[in-house]
Amino acid sequence: MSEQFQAEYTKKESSKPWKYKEGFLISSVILIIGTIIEIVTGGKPINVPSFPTNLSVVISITFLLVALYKIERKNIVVQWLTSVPAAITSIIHVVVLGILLGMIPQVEKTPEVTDIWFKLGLKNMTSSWHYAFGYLFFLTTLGMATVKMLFSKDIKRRIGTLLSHFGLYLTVIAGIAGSGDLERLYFVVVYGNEPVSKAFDSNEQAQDMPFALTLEKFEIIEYHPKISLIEAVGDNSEIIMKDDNRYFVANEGDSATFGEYKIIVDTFYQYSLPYDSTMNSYGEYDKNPALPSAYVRVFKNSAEIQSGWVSCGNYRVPRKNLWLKDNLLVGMFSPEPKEYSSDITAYSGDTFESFTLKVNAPKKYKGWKLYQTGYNEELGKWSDYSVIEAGRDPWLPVVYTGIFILIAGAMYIFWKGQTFKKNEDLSSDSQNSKN
Amino acid sequence: MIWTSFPVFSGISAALWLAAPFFFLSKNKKIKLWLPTILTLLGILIYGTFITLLWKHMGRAPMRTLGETRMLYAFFVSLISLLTFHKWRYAWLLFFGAFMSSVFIALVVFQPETYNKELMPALQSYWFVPHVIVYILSYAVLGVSWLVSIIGLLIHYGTHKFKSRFAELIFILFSTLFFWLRGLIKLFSQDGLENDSNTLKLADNLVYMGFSLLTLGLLFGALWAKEAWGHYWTWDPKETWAFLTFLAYLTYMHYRYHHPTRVKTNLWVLSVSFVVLMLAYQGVNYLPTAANSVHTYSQQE
Ligand code: HEM
Repeated sequence: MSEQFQAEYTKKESSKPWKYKEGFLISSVILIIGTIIEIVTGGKPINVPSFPTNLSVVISITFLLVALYKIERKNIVVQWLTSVPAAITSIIHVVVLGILLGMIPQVEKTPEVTDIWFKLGLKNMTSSWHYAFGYLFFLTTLGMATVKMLFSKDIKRRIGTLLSHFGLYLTVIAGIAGSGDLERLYFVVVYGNEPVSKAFDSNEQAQDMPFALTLEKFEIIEYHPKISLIEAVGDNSEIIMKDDNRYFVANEGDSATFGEYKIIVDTFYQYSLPYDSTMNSYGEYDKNPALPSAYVRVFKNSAEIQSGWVSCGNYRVPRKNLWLKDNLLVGMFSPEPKEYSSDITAYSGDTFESFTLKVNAPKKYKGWKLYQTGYNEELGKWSDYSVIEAGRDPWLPVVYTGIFILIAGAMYIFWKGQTFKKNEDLSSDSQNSKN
Repeated sequence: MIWTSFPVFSGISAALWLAAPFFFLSKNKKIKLWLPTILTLLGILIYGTFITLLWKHMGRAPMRTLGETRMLYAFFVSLISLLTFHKWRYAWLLFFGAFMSSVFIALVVFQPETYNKELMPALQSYWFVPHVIVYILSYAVLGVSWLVSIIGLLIHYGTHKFKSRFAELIFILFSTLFFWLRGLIKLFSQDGLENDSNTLKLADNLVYMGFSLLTLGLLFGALWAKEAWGHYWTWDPKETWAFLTFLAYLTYMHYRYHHPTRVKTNLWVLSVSFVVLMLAYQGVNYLPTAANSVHTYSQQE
């Protein structure tokens, strides 16, 4: 079986003149052309065209690939494009671009940057010619492979891989084309202000929106903060709050043991303020700039040695530690956020609607999707504004269709495992392997 | 303070896992088959108890921090090598699975700063648990396939003629370093990987399983990102590296399909793919691009 297989295999290999060398040649050529264009244009980022140009490009490319396969199937270049060596070289091409993208920090705003990396298109990779050419190469081989499977005789057996290839093709091409119609804008809504209808894009250009927003209430719900026994480093001016295992969450009545020390929380206020500037006593208070505090007692070998208030401090109120000795103290970490939410009223024409936006719980409104995305980080819980993102992505249904087809393909592969049968027994021909 | 009991639970489990494969050497058929299974299972149960307690204690799934995912990784590697052992009877796999789990347990024990953050709002989503579970499972399966590729390479180089003295020298050097590894394979491969086609068949089974899970993880991540961050794909460094991992395994699958006889290259491609995976999983935090990542939760604040 395996000798015959080897013979067939060799024949198959040699009947395809184009292989890896040609693939890497294509890769190099498009890299060089890309670099030349980047240098000539000074690294100017390119944008995906919007509707209807992007749609017609997608349809043309897809149509072209199908036509090419149907009409010129015997052509060696077309044959090559449907082959695994073409697939692998295009995948590796995209991998190289990805490694560059994953290693080189990218710039967010483009106009001013002029260093050499930028001019080569390496600091704004995703809108560079390298990316455009690379993904065109990738989509061509992926599309051709899909078409080949679609028209293959044993399509039944290949249904799983067909789903994977088509799903990936659709997801990638719709994702790229869709970025031409993608809108993501940011509202900054300040407490007590008039409704705002201006939103900003990522380049800080203002744009008038078809609706306006006001902020009724912004809220951060926080976890209880953590308390720990901390060693101060250096001349005591520098306190390293090492975020390690040795902490406990401040709850009234809770206690924890750190070596020979035991700490008990007698009183805990989630929102409080010190009574005066000595910060020797705290009382409950729930308005700006309230912060957590706790009254703790410290025992050493069961004898109480210290007691007092600790607090984590915030933008207005200093931190309060309980010193046990020169380099040892009880301190409180800043609380971590549990939930961000904004109560928003949206106005459009003479209608209005109120709703709450939370992270992970966006809201559809007038064809847009609204997200809670930011706040005044310096003021934290007492932020005076909230940042709301409004997004619109008309291609989303197409991309999701691709994603769900790809999920179906992945599940099929998971279920069936490897389905091709051409390498049942390799033990004898592995000796002859050429590399 | 439940993490303080982690070394106890994980220590017992690791000891059981490491001891289990040795009973495969017994002459008694029953012992040979069942004792490794029972001991490994016992270790998994003990480790699982800790995970359950931790989950209860924290009131959330322990899947957020690097430390927590490492802890789960050790669990799933053991589970998967046990299942693979049962299906294909490779005792050495059990041993290397145990070894890999122990390495990850040691990482958790000696880097305690990796495990204690509360769940930040962006992670409070119904996508969170499926996304992370699928990814960890996938990494565990692909991790086992990596072990297979390494063993395959060692055996391949050990049983084939070398083209040059130099290659042979390198191999001797390498296998001296890993002499214990080769010894262990010999020890545990009574009916194991004497021939390459077995190695690759096993690797394929694992890769196809791991790759589909990887794909699911990537896509669940995209769907979740849409809800949490407003877009399904932003070429954030973590996303980029996840995509690179996906492409690396694609390269293996296609190369393998097209050149089934190029055993050595296939094994190399497979073992390099895992390096990409490890970069994506453990390395992104240390890359120069990390500061731009919305996904390196362990660095939040
Ligand atoms: C989710 C992603 C992918 C999966 C799961 C996948 C899987 C497979 C599998 C299992 C085969 C073996 C053929 C069969 O069983 O019918 C195959 C063949 C092939 N794939 Fe992919 N693949 C993927 C993406 C790609 C990409 C991105 C390309 C191109 C850039 C590509 C190009 C090819 C080609 C050219 C063949 C050979 C077709 C033939 O000659 O029959 N695939 N793929």
